[in-house]
Amino acid sequence: MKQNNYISYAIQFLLLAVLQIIIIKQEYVIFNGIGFCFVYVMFLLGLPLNLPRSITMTIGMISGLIIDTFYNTPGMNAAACVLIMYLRPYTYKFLNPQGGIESVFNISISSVGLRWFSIYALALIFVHHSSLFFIHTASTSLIWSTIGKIFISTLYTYLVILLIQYLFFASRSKR
Amino acid sequence: MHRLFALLHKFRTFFFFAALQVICFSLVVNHNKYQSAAYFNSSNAVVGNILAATSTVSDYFVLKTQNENLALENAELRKQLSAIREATEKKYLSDLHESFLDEFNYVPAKVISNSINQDENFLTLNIGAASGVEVGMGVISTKGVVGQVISVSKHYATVRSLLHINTSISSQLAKNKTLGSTKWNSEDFTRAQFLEVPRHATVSKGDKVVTSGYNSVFPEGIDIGVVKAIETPKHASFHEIELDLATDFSNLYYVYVAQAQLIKERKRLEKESEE
Repeated sequence: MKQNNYISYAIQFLLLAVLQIIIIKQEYVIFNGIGFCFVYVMFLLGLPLNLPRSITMTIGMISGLIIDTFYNTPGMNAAACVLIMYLRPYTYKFLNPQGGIESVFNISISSVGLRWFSIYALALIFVHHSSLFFIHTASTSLIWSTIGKIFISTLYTYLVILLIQYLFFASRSKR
Repeated sequence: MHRLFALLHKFRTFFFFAALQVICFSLVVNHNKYQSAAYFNSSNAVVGNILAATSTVSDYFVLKTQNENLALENAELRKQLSAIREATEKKYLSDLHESFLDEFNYVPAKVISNSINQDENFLTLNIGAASGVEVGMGVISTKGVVGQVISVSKHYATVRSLLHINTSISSQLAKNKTLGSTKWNSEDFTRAQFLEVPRHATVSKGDKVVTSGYNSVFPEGIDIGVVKAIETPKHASFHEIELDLATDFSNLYYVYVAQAQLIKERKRLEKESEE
């Protein structure tokens, strides 16, 4: 049973990576190169909470590197993913001070509720995008445009993740 | 000693986190050192294969535009052919032409991945070291300059596009050979800046800007763009010139890698004269 779950995670990552690399990277940058969507982050957000952090950080690094390889930005996505995987336990400790959420295996809107999921996802996506864009522009362009990019891209990624959640994850729980 | 281990154990997650971050940042820094990204970029063989496979599917959707481009290219070549015939009638012109032909050799390549909307854009080509591509070679399309090769594997090459914030191309005005350099400011993929043109030079709207050929990356006279707007601030010593780029980066499927044949000889000569 448990093994099945891990396989379904692997498949989920594969599908999200394909979506990210083949479709979103080429076509869907909005507002004249300001809004970037990094939908693959959804895979990292959905990882089980009872996994040790050393494992989730390693998974974050590997998936970040895979995306980096296609974006020609070695290390940048990886660094951002490791960072959010490190900070993740703090967000759910903040959201559920008494605990109890750790038993949820797959974090999705249907398993934890829209409000909980939104705060959790927005916070981590914001951290991910901030670190990604700041590493990226460290040597190149201006701070205000970077901040604009971060906010717009965070919302963009969040909305796409929400859409995917409602399309593919909500129906599964009804069954 | 025991305490030290206890401390290490207590913060083991943090240390692991720090270690992973150090690895990531060393990758970032190494990549920025230009050329040295060995594995994690799109000329890596596995990634190249995936991109090539994706491109075979997406090719079908652009057959029409490709056909139009090929037809245009045919027309252009026909025009050049007739120009060459004319030239061969005059002996000295033909000699001149041959010396140009010898200096550069062109290898056609297919673009299997391209981006235009980042600050740093790259292309991946389906030819590599096996076809004689080397790091540093120039890449041009039928319409104009495209970029420069920065990384090569056996069958693939990664090209730093003109649309990269660190790219700078030695260029000149076609009409009077005033030198400058072309850079991109990451705003619009159809426009670039022509910099370092001294105030006293006369520039007007619609002037053509072409490569200078001084660094033997590109042959001389390859189109870069057309002057779109000129501004000359009151106390500045240079013009601020905006170009409409000749190459349409959103519609690139076939390009040519320019291999400078005599580059070693030229480099050696330049070095000798410096010493």
